[in-house]
Amino acid sequence: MALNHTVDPIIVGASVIAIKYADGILMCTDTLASFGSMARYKNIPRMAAIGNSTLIGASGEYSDFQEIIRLLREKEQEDFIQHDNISLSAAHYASYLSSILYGKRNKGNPLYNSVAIAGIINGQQYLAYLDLYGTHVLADYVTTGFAAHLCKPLLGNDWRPDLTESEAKQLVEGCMRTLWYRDARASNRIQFAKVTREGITFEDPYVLQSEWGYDSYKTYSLNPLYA
Amino acid sequence: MFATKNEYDRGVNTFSPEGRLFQVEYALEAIKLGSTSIGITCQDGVVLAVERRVTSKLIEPSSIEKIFEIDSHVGCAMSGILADARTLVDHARAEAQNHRFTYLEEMLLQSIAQSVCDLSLNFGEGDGSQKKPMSRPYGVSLLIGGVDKNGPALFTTDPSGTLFKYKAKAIGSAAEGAQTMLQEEFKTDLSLEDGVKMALRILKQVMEEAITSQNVEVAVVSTQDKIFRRLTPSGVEEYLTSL
Amino acid sequence: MVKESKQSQFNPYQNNGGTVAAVALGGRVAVGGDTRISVGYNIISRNYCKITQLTSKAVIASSGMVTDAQNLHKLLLARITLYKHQHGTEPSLKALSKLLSITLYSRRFFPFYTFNLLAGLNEEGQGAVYGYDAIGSFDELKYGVQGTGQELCMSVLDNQCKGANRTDDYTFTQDPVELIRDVFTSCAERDIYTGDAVTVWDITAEGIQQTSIPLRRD
Repeated sequence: MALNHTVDPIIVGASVIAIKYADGILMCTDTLASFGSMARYKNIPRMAAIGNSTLIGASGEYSDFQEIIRLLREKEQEDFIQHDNISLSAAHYASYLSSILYGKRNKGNPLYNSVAIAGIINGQQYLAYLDLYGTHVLADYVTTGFAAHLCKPLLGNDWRPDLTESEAKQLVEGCMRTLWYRDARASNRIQFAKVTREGITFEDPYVLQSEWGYDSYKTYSLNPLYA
Repeated sequence: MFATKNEYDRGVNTFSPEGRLFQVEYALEAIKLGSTSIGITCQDGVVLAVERRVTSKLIEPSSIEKIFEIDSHVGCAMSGILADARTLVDHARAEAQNHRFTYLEEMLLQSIAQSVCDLSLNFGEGDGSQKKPMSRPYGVSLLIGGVDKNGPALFTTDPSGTLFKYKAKAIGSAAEGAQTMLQEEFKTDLSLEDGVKMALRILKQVMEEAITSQNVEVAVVSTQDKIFRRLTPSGVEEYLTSL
Repeated sequence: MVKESKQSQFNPYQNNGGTVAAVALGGRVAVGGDTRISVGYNIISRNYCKITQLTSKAVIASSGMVTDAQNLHKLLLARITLYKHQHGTEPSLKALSKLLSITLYSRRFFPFYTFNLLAGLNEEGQGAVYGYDAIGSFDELKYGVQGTGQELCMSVLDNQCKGANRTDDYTFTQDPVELIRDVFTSCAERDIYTGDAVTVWDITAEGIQQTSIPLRRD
């Protein structure tokens, strides 16, 4: 087997959460890339804009994420130089990326990521989930990595299509906090980005408020041997 | 540089200033030298009939084969260069079998004829990306006749890759005379029997030699079983005596 | 300590679960597929359609791996478009049946991990179902089911469509769409990979009708 095949991810990002809301799509990741159990890069972006209406976020191998961005930006550049007032939409990029992922999995050399792609197409929200096999599904909310276990049920309870931006942000921040409490590879430094009809906005990363002062966190008393 | 218009017939893919491809036109001439072939669609099938030119007493007439089976439901009669016809027929046979393999059904006549035309026009240098094509146009015209799910049908192909569907058509040296006769005699309610008779009657009139069961070749595809069948010399003889 | 230098190999396959079924009766065929897809115990979609319309009279329903099914369907649609341009007509159900078989077999040594049902009306206007394995073996059926719920559904269909294990004088006259719905409702009760909803495509000479009913979501 050739050595350049990613069969074990090395520098990895944890969860991505993206949800549709009334005016667009809100996406959130933490800014950590881990090397095994080491918090290797603590302030890197895990979301990127492609053109001016497509937002992409990925968990998994960070170098493969960078390759995906390179490929999509290359495609965007090709599209731009056409200079025809027609630009590729999030659905086009998702379909294109799905074909790349499928082609690479067929060669046994996958891009080791789970990806959320968001955009606005003809005023409508578009949100897709892609994985390293090329699976391509549409959804109202996308969760990758540990968020698929810890946050999907939370979103299942509280997600509505008519969420306002602040409601959506509150909901997703709650999910990110849950991840910070229980996912050992998650970071409390998180970043939001959104796509709306006006375009893409990245917010500055910030540190989540969290509370570790509960009694049960501070004592050993839950172990019956020490009770 | 090209002083006379004749220079434009050197390259096979070079247009003359009048917009003509001389090599293709010369290939069409080759067909006019060929023996006469007739195809007629009838209500219940298709007839193909050709004249065999037996140029020497020492030739075994049965070795001259100008009607080919392409698939069990399709036959073809040719006029022009026999060897070129074989190349096209080989291609058509492969396409027909490939279609059966892929789709579990017989190939439509129009599709078979079209695939022959695609090959016909593929001549010249080639771009090196695939197998080297034929260096010159194919000097042959085919009458492709048979029965498919849409009923009996007859198509012609020629060196220019042009495809036509005919009710009845003659090609070869006596095509003009034969076509005139077909035009006069053709009826849409023709039976296969009458079709064979008409084809032989016309051949008899346009052939230079006297017609015998040895110097013509006849094949039919009937709608009844959709099977390509050659008439035996004795079968042809029967029709000839009834003319 | 000697470090082991064993490298794990990438497994390109994944079973996303789900069930598809089809029942033909006279000039009609009903095709159903649940809308759940999973990875292990994770549900990655509750509204994914496993059925693709190929021609005006035929659909394909696939279970197995979603990405392979998506690409197989895309490939077939492209082949069918070429057929239409080449021959001027839609391919018949029988033509599609062989086309699907050779498409699957062309990947004999790296198979599409899909289990397919091809259903529609044949050239005589009769409903028909074709069932396939992953590498293209196929058979014409009156009814069929594929996927994680096939064991649960098949015996019910045997009994209802063929009258298997019955002592009474029975002929199958039930509405096939209703039968598909009942079978999926029952299947969702016990198969964790089948659920959320079932989409049923009702194919007749008049055209294709699509309906959907909810299933268990747990």
